[in-house]
Amino acid sequence: MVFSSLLFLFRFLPIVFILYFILPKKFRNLLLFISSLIFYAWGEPVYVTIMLFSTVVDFTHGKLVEDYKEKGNLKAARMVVASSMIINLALLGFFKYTDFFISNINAIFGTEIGLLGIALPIGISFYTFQTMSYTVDVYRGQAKAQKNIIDFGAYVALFPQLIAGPIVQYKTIAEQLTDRHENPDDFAEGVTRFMTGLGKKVLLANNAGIIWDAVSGGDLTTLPVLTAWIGILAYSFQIYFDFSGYSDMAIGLGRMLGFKFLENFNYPYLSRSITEFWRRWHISLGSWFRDYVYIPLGGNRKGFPLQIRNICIVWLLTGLWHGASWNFVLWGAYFGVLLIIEKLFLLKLLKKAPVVISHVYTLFLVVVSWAIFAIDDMERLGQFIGAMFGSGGSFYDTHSLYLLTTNAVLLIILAIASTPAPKILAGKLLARLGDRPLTAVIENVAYAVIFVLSVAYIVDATYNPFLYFRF
Amino acid sequence: MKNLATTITFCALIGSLSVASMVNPVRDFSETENRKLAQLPEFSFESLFEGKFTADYETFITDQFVARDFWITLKNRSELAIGKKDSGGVYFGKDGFLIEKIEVDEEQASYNFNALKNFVELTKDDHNVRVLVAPTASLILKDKLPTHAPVWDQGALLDALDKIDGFVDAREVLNAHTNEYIYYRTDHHWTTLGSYYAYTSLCESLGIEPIALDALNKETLSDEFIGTLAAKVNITTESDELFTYNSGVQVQVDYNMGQSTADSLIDESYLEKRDKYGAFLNGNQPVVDVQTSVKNGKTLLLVKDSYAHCMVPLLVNHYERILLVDHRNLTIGTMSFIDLIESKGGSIDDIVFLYNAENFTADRNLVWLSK
Repeated sequence: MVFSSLLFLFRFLPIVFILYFILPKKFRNLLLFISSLIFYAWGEPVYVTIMLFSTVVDFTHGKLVEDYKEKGNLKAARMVVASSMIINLALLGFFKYTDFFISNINAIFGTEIGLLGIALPIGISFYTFQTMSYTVDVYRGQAKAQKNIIDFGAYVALFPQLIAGPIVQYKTIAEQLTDRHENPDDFAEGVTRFMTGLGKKVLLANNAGIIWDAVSGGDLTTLPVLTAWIGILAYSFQIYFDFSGYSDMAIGLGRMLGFKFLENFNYPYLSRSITEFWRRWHISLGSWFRDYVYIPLGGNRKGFPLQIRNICIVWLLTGLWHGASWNFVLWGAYFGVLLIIEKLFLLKLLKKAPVVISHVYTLFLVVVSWAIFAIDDMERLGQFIGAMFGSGGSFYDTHSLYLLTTNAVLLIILAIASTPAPKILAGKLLARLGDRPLTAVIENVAYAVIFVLSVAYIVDATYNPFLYFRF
Repeated sequence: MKNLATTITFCALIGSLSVASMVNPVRDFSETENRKLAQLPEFSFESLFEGKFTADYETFITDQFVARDFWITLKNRSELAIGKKDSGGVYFGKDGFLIEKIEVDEEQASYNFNALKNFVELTKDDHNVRVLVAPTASLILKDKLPTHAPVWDQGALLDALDKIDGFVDAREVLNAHTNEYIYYRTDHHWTTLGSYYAYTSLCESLGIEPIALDALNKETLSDEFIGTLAAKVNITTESDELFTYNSGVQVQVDYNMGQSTADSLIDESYLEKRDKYGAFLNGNQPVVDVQTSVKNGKTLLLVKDSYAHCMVPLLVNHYERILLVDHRNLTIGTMSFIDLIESKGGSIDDIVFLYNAENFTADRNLVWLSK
């Protein structure tokens, strides 16, 4: 099931929320668990068993780790952690990377082993990472093992972030599982967050995607420079609004239920360095890799050469996490290299440089990175990047002008919406109006308009894909 | 205070639409979308585990959502408001013109070109063969396209076709009358007036004297024709006028070799429906046999698509018999059909291949031409 669907908005959401607030607190996690299973199983009637399997595995592993630690048997505890890692990574590896592995073996050894064509269970990249974080957090003593499988199940399956994050580390949510206080203020804040996310996804991301599809669909070799750039800018907006919109909806829904998740995006396109970009983009993933891969490998505490090695490992893995295809590994490596260069000397220079320079530097590199991310066929990727820099043979043609003129308003809206400007301006406007009923009306009418338009687009949609579904 | 308002707004929006969509009566057919709407799917564990039941159920909810047409219109209007000039494969042109956005399948176009050329070779010795590949609005009314709109070079195709024996180039005559109502605003067809001008070029090529426009009686069939292109974008636009020309010729129409008959070229039952253009010769019938009161012993075979339908009222003035075959629905080859007619004592004098240029590049049935 997806949030941006009539089924979710007008069947699942009202029913679950009504039940949630009617039920006494002690049954709420059970409701969340069951409804989350339904949410997941709706789209994956068979693969829901894998998620349940992963849940049971890590629940038992968590208890074992804590038992061993209490008995002082650290070695056994470590082995249990390793076991949890192996099982989860094996699941992830099998379902996501088998065919990638096979086709590489074929390419290297000239064999012709048939691909298995295994369908990817939705959300597996997210929930396996979440359950792994649990066992490690218990081992490190950062959280107590969850004794109640329903509560644990609610954590793993929680429908707001099950399919597309944010990746919630167990320790940030452990207390809230059993001790959260739903209240009207949080509910209202969650609502506005959710509406914002819905608008970002349905109104902004999907429309940006139409531009990208128009550009990337056909022959890439003759693409004029302007067309290529309009296209990749559109894609940059699409992926940002798609993913951050989904995160907004997840955080919003969580808030309505009394959970406070950490932020996942912080206006990444304001960044003035790649280092800063990765502190503002998909924050929960960066944090996960930092806490569970980079720091355990030694981070920056074992000398510079090893730090470089650690950065390389983390970034190759980050790239690979995004998809079972070489362009994603290339994408990760691209950022790994840039981050190392920035650490070596560039970051200091950027901090002293004028804002415009560092800003343009960052956006340019980020937009180019999205081309690598968006096109998984290496030949077409080469053609497209070439086209961005003139290999198409012309700077613009009628199609470029058509795209530009018919999408000018949309592109301007997209650019402004990726900055805090709308929020700041709205804040000032509402502050001027003061704390009167009129203010509340205006604000809520605005959200209602976004909502109504979103519903219109959803009803009309033949086009409503969610990009991060390959995870 | 603000938070209370937000909560209430949210609950009202979600609540009202949820309830409304649940009690909304289930519709069978959508007039605006011209298709059957999804119904409640039948449950089975098999379809559940395949994921089919859940997907079908979701389609059911979306198709049956309350005020579905309103939401689609709202979306289209907001797109227009931010400057978009196309949607669903249709350009929003100037002066309220909807013009189809064509993606040409070069391979199919090439195949069709050769199939047509071959057909002309096969038939030109025994009959007067003419090829009228009609230009469409995206060429003739290109001034109405949105600024910079990329458009397929239809002219190149027509230039290439010019090399085929018997090609009738209707561009010149149509270009001379672009200020007149020669293409519909909401439909992909040409109007009866547009077909009239092409008809004059065809007549010239066949050595026939075309009937003058003022010698014909214009009859308006409907003022509320909303055509195929408006259906694709679902915005209520200004409607088109559907009309025909009468010249007093009587006809006897036989559909599909005896399946049904009529004594008029216009089937008025279509005028009550959405697809009003179908009033001309009852839509896309495989075989139509028209006997006229013009007793000159001449027979015409039209190998055609729907562009020909509104030209027949004009052509009946010159032939005793007009046969129409539509290979989108007929699995008898054209050559076989000619043999069939001749074996029954008929004889075909003139053959006209009449397709519109866009359809000509896409049609997958021209393989039947030489069979």
